[in-house]
Amino acid sequence: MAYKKRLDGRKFDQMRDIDIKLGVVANADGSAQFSMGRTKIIAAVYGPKTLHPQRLREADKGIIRAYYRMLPFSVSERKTPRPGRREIELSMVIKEALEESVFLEEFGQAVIDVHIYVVQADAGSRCASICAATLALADAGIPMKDFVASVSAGVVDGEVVLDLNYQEEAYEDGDVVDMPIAYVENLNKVTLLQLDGKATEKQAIDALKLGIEGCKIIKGKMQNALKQKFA
Amino acid sequence: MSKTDVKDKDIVVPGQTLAKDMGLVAGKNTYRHGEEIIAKTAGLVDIKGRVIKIIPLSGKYIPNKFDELIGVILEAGGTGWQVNIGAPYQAYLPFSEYTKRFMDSRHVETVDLLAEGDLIQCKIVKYTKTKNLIVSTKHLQDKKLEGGIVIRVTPQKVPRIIGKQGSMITLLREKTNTNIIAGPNGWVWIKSDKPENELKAAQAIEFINQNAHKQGLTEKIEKLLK
Repeated sequence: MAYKKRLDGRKFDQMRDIDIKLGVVANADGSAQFSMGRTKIIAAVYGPKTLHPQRLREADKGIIRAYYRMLPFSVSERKTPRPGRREIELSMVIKEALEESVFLEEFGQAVIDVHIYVVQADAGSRCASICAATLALADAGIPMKDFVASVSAGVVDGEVVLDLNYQEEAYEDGDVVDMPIAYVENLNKVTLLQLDGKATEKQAIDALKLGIEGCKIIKGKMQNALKQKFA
Repeated sequence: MSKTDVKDKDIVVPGQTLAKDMGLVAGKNTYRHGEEIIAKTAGLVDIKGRVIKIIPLSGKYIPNKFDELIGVILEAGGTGWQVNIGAPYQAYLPFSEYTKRFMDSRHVETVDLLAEGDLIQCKIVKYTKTKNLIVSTKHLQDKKLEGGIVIRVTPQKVPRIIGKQGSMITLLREKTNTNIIAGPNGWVWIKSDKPENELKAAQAIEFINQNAHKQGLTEKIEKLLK
């Protein structure tokens, strides 16, 4: 157990600082900027609007299309703007995490486009993306059951920690487990759960519990930010 | 008296619990989850008797039957017109809903009556679950809106532009000497002989759009238009 203190000096159950701005994209129906430490995401929502091509339409429920993309300058080595395997997968994962909370049955045959761009990546970008997207959806006035809050939990060298940053994800002196979690509090449902690395059963359960607690804190912050925008 | 967690006119956000009481009715933009009534959208709480509902502050226009609004012709077809009414779904104006007068569609070209890009006033007469959206201009003398300008506002702010029993829109019309039509889809048509009057009215409406949730709007508008 060499990992006694976190690399950036946080407590084991402490998140990075969160900064929320709403309405950053004036053209969009709703938008939000969500920063978590050095991870910075911009999300814009367009819709509900007519869905083309028609064959994708569903008679009695609307669909969400999520586009998760990383900007070429979001990481130190230039990332090609072409969407890769990882981005396509994360788009799907984010879409499924959001779908659970949105009242899609209220706009049959229509589509909600959620564009998510990673401006600066420092680990936990899919979690921050879900937070940014759910804020943008709420800003666009789309009916939702609850905010979808998301944070990653994990294990660094035997210690269960909340919200890993890139330094910790790349920690080399011990095993690292990264577990992104998205949680809808009102429904008591986990809508995203992935796990990267090798964890014991106890570690995984502890990390999940810690993550859910973190999600509840993030939800409170998101609610306050949205209230302030309209006040 | 039933107990609620929020007061009238409070600002709430999605997922916020409004009340925990089976004696209350979950109105528009709220849903019931177990015993709780929870908000669906961000907006202002409106409690009337036992019904608790939310007046949203943002969002797209969702059509309702009998809405009277402004639309734009997208395409003139053989037996009717495709109309954009700013909703997620496209509306259709059939030839039979165009006028009360008898008109034989075999001898009239639809393009001659309404062409692509024309502004029309219309009324939704049919809106089904399968999103079949039919509009009508039957009840109107002037179907086409000639000249003037159109501005877009947030659909939820239109009731403030119209005011109680049309008080605000009457004020705007009289002070700026314009003709204004505001539909629930947030499209507002302004027409006057002088272009500067149109711009003045547009400015006032934009001011209402941005300050709709504040009090004492009528006095501010009166001041602005002086």
